[in-house]
Amino acid sequence: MAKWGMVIDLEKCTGCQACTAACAMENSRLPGENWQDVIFFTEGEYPSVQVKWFPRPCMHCEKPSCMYACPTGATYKTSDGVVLVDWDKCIGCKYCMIACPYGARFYTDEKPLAAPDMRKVFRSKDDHSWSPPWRMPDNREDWRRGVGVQPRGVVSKCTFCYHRVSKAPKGTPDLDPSDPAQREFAPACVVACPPNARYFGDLANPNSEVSKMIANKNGVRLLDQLGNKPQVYYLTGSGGAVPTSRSTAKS
Amino acid sequence: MGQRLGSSAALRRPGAYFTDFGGVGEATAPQLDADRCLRLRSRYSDCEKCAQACPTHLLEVSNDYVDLADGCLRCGQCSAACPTGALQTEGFGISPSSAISAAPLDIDCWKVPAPHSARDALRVPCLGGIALHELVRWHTACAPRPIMLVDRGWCGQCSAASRANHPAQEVLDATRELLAELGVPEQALPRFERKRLPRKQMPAEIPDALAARPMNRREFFTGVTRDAVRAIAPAVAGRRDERTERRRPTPAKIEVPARLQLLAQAAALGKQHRRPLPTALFPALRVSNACQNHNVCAAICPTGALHSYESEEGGVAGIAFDAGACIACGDCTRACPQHAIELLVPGAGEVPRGRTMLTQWALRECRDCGYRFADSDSDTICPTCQKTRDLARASFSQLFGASHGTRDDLPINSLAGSMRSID
Repeated sequence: MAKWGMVIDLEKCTGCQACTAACAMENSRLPGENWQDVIFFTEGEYPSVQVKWFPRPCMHCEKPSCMYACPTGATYKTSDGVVLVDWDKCIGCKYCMIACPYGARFYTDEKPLAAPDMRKVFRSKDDHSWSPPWRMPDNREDWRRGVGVQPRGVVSKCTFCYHRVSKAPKGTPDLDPSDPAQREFAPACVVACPPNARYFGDLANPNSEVSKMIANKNGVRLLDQLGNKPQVYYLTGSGGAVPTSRSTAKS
Repeated sequence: MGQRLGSSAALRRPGAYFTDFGGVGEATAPQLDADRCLRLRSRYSDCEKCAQACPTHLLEVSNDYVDLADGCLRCGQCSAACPTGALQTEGFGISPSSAISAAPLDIDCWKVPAPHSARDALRVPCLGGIALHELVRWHTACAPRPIMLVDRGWCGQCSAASRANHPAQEVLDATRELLAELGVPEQALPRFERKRLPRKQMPAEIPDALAARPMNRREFFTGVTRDAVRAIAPAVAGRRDERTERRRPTPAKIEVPARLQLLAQAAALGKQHRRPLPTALFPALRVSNACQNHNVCAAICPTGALHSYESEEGGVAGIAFDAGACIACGDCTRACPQHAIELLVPGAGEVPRGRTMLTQWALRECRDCGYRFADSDSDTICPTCQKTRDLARASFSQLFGASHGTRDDLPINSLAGSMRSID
């Protein structure tokens, strides 16, 4: 069985948020409640301010603390290594949001994070939290796997675009969006990334591109000391500090 | 081959549970309503009262399933122990006849041959399967007749009695204590009555009383209808499932009729005898300062006894507690991320008047996202935003600070040199 994982090359990432927009479109996310976010961090004061950033999808941990905290067993790990939420079982207690050290879970029944409130503009007549003008076809929606427009009263999270990834032929080592045959199976953020900073593939296969990259380029897992063992790796370049290819000087 | 009474997979799927009791056919094993079973509802539950009560140790309870091995006696002791009424055994939901009489009301077990029972005796599968609320209900229904649990002297040899004393001893003691506190006079309290029968009269198994009992026309046709419902239930359930596939069933809180009924009757008795309700009926909770208003306890509470509230102006929020609905399952104490909530022994609290506010929090708006959060230590940003900041801090030092020999716990300011300045 595959063990899907992602590699994000921070030497290439420009912080353009195309991944965030692609994810929001693919999964009908409310503004400000993106499963995929780019975290910006400023430090210092004018005139010597620094802006740093890195993209944060769900880490799809090998040992997901959210799954162990869930009282109803709504959060589970699939045999191909993806952590999903069963919206039919979720009672919205938000325990997983407390347990997740990466802040990668969302409960949209809170105060809107952006005005106007899209839930009021595109009001839903059923159990969905809103009815976006564009959404995936109903037959692709899968509440047992947390795929689709988020219903009210449940917690949602990045699914690694499970509705796409799970359709990939068995034994595929990498889902490379530059290959037309694999493009439709790769997660939306991977397909959208303009500088191709994201790679998606099978971590269990030592010959996959992602496995090689992690081995050769010293892939880093965030907050590794917690023991969650994320399946999202970051490449920071040989130096580890600021990527050499990224020019931050003005002139 | 045993049978699976219920599993967590059956939870909250409409039509997956279809409980019906009674019928003309052979007696059935206890029925489980998976949605009401504490153990199946939450992984923070360690309830195994039914398994402990089973005299033959046939029940296996886990967070994923409830299994019943072959050989169930249908004595109903598991159902009597179940705090939510999720398990139901046939033969217990009966009421005494309303005929006026001064003679005591006998309660007899199905094993006693019918001619040996008093004519208006209440016959149940096993005296051990009588729950506290049933006994109190029978007491109020037939007052001032005292209730006699008939001891035939053979319970010690019965396979349904694994404990040292009589299987109904505990519930009888509890009922007597409760009723005495409510001012019921000694001579009206339920008690044992010894009417010995020879050991050889006892059948090996609890007989199917529905077949043994004389049945009138109405009961016969009701039973036939129930059998028909039972036969077509799976098909109907399947159809309902399909039709309601798109509907998300609400994570419903369960009502516990047994407890509500017990409290109502205790209140009526107390009023009649001018006694206050005993505090032992009401569990009490204590919340320590470690609470951070995550409201996990309120979400997990199976009965809704714990619930979150917010003042109308929106400035104050917290958790409220309704001791009348609390079944003292303790799920909240185990689930609390801070271990801030404590279940006090019954009787340690006071008799509540309506719901009590356990915590009160001033709400404050997050500087970053505008979310209103409970102000714990005068933070200006909400815990979610704080978590993201902490993640950013730790991750930047991990991702970009490595070449400078920095560690995760390094303050972010000393990383300034690791990035080129923008100007």
